[in-house]
Amino acid sequence: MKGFLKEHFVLIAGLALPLFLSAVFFFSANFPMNAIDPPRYAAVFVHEYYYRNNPDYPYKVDINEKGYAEFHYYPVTDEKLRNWNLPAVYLYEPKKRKVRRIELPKIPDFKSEATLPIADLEGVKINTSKTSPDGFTFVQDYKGSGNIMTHLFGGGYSGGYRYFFVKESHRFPIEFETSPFYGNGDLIGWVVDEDTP
Amino acid sequence: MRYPQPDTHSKESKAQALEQIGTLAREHGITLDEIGAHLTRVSLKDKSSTWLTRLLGYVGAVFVFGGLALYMAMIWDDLNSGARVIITFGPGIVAFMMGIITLKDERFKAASTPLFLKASILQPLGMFVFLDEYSEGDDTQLAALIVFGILAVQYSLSFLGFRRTSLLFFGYIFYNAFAGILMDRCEVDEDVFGVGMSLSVLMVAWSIDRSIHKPIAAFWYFIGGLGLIWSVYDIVDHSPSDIVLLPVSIFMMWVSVRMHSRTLLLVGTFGLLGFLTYYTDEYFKDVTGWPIALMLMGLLLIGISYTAVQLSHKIKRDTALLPPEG
Repeated sequence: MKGFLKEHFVLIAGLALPLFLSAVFFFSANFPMNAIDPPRYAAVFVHEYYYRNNPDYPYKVDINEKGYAEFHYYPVTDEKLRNWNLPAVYLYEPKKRKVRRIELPKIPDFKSEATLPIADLEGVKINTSKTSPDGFTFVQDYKGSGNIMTHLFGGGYSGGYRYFFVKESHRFPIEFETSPFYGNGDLIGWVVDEDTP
Repeated sequence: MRYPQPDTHSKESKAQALEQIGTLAREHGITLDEIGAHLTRVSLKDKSSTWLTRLLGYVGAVFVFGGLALYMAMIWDDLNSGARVIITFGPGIVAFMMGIITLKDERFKAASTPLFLKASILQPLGMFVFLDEYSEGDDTQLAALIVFGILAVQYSLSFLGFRRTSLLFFGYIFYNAFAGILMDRCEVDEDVFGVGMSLSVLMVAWSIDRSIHKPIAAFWYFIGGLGLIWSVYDIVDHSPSDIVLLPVSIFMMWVSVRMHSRTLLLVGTFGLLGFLTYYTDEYFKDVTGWPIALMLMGLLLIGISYTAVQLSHKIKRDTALLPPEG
């Protein structure tokens, strides 16, 4: 056995290397040795928000002076309206470590401007600071452009936009039920009222 | 004056010849199968040594395979789930079993590779159809992981049993597909994925190169070498550490000489040429010395190509001097 291992060391190492890397990344992702506590504050963020800075984009999610979320609609022509996607608003719930889709209010009249409260976030006070009170920031990155080896050998399937809460180089991934492939999101704010989820 | 010719077809002479063959076979321990295989080989060599016969044979095989695929497509909507699995997986497993059977008979061994090729296409297809028809959920990645994992085990075990190069080749393709999907599922960073997988392939290619299965090593050297240079480029592209590409390419050329691989030398040389093109474009394009840089790069390219040819000759000489390895 020892002779076999010595004689075929390179072959065994070559075959074992992908399995070893898989094991290392699997354990580091599922059993993180984080020396810090996970985020304690809920966060509201928007997904599929590519065109938020485009002056023709008719939708906007923001926070009013009192600290509550609002959904704005600015009228555009029917042709333009068809081209724009509604943003997808999510609430991250730290106790469950999951996200919940927030339903946006229906726009009563597409011909006129509207500012509508978001029923699912009624009474939820939001702080628009970039950093949460416990020191986390909201970060997104894109995984999946891949390289020749990922394309040849089946990688890149789980590609897409990913969101994290980051503090001192520790990353806490935000888990979705199904991975959002298309995206580009933005943080709306942190839920500072501790009575809310 | 005419000498009487022996009658080679007379019963007596045939009996004498068979007696001699029998005596020789007993003396040298030759079996009936081996005699049959030898006669078949000689006969095939006489008949199909022309390229046209071979070409027509391959074209015929493609037509048969194409016809099967077309037939499946035509009747697909009329088939129930079981029939769909049988029509895809069935020919695959039959081809695989026939391939194994041909390995047991010296006369048909050459037919095993195309049979394994056919099996390696139809078996995964059939398994995917099975999962699509009978399993729930839409996790295609998990389905691919299961299919390629099973096939990797099947072909690897068959290779261990029969030591056939084609089984090793297909088995290793399935293993890599399985390992690649597993790495992606375990969230291995794509840069680590690229470099790790390339190094893995290069190490296995090196081991294959030192065995009797050497003919497939060049393919895996090419995949591993290209993957390594490409992955390193993806990591360091447009960053201050992009100079790393230079030592990586030179290292690959050095390794190619050590491993006596002209394929790896080709990849290393193209890597070096690619680095020079990238580097001059990245840093010297907009300066007034760009034309001079272009000329310098041209001279460098000539120098590199000359060195590559010299190294290639050296590898060829060294390889010729090497004792055959088992």
